[in-house]
Parts: sequence; C-alpha cells; structure tokens
Amino acid sequence: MAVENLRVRVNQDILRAVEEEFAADWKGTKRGEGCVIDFYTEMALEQRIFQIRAGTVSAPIVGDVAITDQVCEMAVEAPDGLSMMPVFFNWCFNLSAATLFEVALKSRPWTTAITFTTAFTPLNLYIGGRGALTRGYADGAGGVDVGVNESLTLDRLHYHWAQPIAAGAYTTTDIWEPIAPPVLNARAILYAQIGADTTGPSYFAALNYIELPTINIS
Amino acid sequence: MATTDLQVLVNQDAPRAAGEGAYIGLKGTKRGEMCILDFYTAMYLEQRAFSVRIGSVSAPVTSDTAITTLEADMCADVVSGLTLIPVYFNFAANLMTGTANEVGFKSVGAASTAGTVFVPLPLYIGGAAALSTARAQATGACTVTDDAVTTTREIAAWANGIAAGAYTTTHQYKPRLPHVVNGVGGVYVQVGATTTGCEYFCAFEYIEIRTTNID
Repeated sequence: MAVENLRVRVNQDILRAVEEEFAADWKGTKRGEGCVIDFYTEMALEQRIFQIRAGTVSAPIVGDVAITDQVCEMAVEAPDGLSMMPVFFNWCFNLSAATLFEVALKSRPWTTAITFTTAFTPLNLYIGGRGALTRGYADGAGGVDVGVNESLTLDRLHYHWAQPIAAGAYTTTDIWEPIAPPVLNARAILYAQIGADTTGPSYFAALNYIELPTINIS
Repeated sequence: MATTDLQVLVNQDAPRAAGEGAYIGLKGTKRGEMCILDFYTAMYLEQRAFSVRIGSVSAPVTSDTAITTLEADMCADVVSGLTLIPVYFNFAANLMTGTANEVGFKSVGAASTAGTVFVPLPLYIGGAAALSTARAQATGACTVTDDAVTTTREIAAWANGIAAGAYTTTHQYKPRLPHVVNGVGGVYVQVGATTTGCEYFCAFEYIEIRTTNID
C-alpha cells in the first residue's frame, strides 16, 4: 500500500506567527483537511484594501443634478506602477424625491489629471494599516472632475443602477461585489457617479479596492 | 507500478482527531479529490467567532431618532494585541413609520465608551469566551467615536427615504473581503430615522484573533 505524500500539520489551538521568507508547514485540521485562505481575505490581512467613502450618519451627501459625463462623486487615481481592483461598492439613498436616478461605477485609462476636487485620503480597511499610494477624491454634487468626457470606447462600465421615479415601492440600497474584479492597470482612474434630475439624492456610499504594485501581477 | 507525485489519504468513514502539532496525511475522498477548509470555516471551528445581537421575537428594539455621529445601538471592541474581523451583518425592521431611515455598520480605531454590556456569544456553542467586549442598547444609547469620513470605515449601509412600503426592509452583509480591525478598535451599528425610530432585530458576527498571528 502506498503512503500519501501530502501532509498537513495539525494546528488548531495555538496559531503560529512565522517570519517572512521562512517555510511554514501547511496548516491542517485534526481531521486532515488542508486549510486555505482566499485571495480577497489575504489582501485584507496584508493591508492592501482601501476605501473611499462619502456621507456620515446623519449627514448624507447630496448627489449631482443632471450628471454630466465628465464629473463624479468619488474617484481614485492610480499612479504609474500601481494597479487597482475595485471589489465592493455600497450606496444607499435616504432621500430621493426627484426622478431619473442614476448610480454608476466606471473606470478609464488615465488621459488627463483629475482637477477641481476635494482630496480624500484612502482609508486602509486594516485599521492601523499603511497609507495608500493611490490618490482618492470625494465631493458631492458632481464635485470631482475626471478631466474628460466619458467615452464608450475607453471607459469601462462596471456597474449601473437606475430608477426613473421617486422613492417608493423599491429598494434604495445596493451592493456591487463582483465575482471577478476588473484590474485597472497603468495609471487608471476609477470613479462613481450618483445623480438625478432637478434634485440630487441624499446618499451614503463606500467604494473599496485592492491596491497592488503592477509588477506583482503582470 | 508507477504512482502519481501527489497523493492524499482517503478518509471518509472515520474522521481523525489528530493532536496539535502532529503531521498527518492530507485528507482526500475515495475519488481522490483533495479536502480543504476555508479560512472562515476554520475560524468558526476553532471557536474564534462571536455574535452580538439585539431584539428577540417578538420583542424588537426601537432605534434611534435623528442619529448623531457619536451614537450607536450595538458595538464590539478589541484592545491592543487583538484583531476583530467582521464577517456578517443582518438587519430586519418590522415597523418603520419614520422617514430618512438609515442603517450603518462601521469600524473605527477606537473603543466605545458607554452602553449596556453584551457578552459576545460564541458561534461555537460551548466554545471559549470572547476576549473582545461588546455593548447593545437601543435608541442610540451606546457611545462610540465620532463618525468621520476621514477616519471611520463604512462596512455596509442601508437607507430609504420613506416609511415602509413595497420594498425590502431586511438587509444582509456577507463580505467577500473583510475589514480588519486591529486593536485598539471596534465595529458598531447605527440604526435610526427622523421623528420615529424603526423597530428592528439585528445581529453581527466577527472573528477574533490575536494580531500577532496575522501581522
């Protein structure tokens, strides 16, 4: 009878803290299952996930009126050598009395610098974690100008939500959490647009993304 | 007779209970598939997951009105050396007559300072007690660090501008990627509306782990 050559080290009770570059035995349960961790959780534990947010309880931000395709509410810009992977977008309206509501999350290769904006220092989702190398911006009423008009052939549409009527028999909260995130390479811009006609919706929003040096993925 | 380079130990009928630190064959099925366990399930099996809840059937609690940024209905805190990873959040309103309804689940690098103590429930029944601490007190009676967009993280949010109608008043958050609250820090839940607070049930779950094991 052959003997299996894949072995794990049972380690349930006292977790290890092995140093960088050292070889560590593969963790296993007392039943022999090999323990694994997924990419997203590992990125969070490595302090590589950041957040841009807008609106605090109970001070929501007011969205844009008649969105123009050059402005947005939130944006992140990755300088050369950095890549972004948007992984989570949560928005909710607590006042939406107008009509023709739109929420969108898009990205584009960098062509022109973001201007006339309020900087937002990205929050590391690992509290106490390192600062971001990407640059964040957040300003209501379409206060972030991404420089050039949205282009169907250049800008990627990752998520879009729309509703033509005022708040009523529908949910005014949504979460975008893709099964596979887009990879925004080589000086890219990620941005979120929120608006309506006549009166902008009052909203809260948060946008989470992974930041990695491009050299580590391509 | 040739063999493959990678072999598992078929072990379906009598699960093993090997001691800590022992090296044992990687479990496999009788068809040869490798058996693995994801991080979250391992944490729950290792008694490292806890729950904080409020409202019981049919005794919902009433939320805050006109939430201020220092008020929360529930929270959990960890001291330096411990890390808290929120992994689930469930909110359900069974009466919502106010307007500007809001629910927020957030994390921040500071501990709460007031509110009724709630002993975190191990999600491994019979498991070890939490080292983290928690509070649960409706109407925004827990005091937390001021919600500032530049320091406080938003884990999940739900809102609706009108009273309950033909829309869903239940919300769940199950992250693909978790927030990591490296102590001192905590998570908290804010629920409120204008004029009349909603009546609701709520629970959140988190993993508690020593910071040295992840950083």
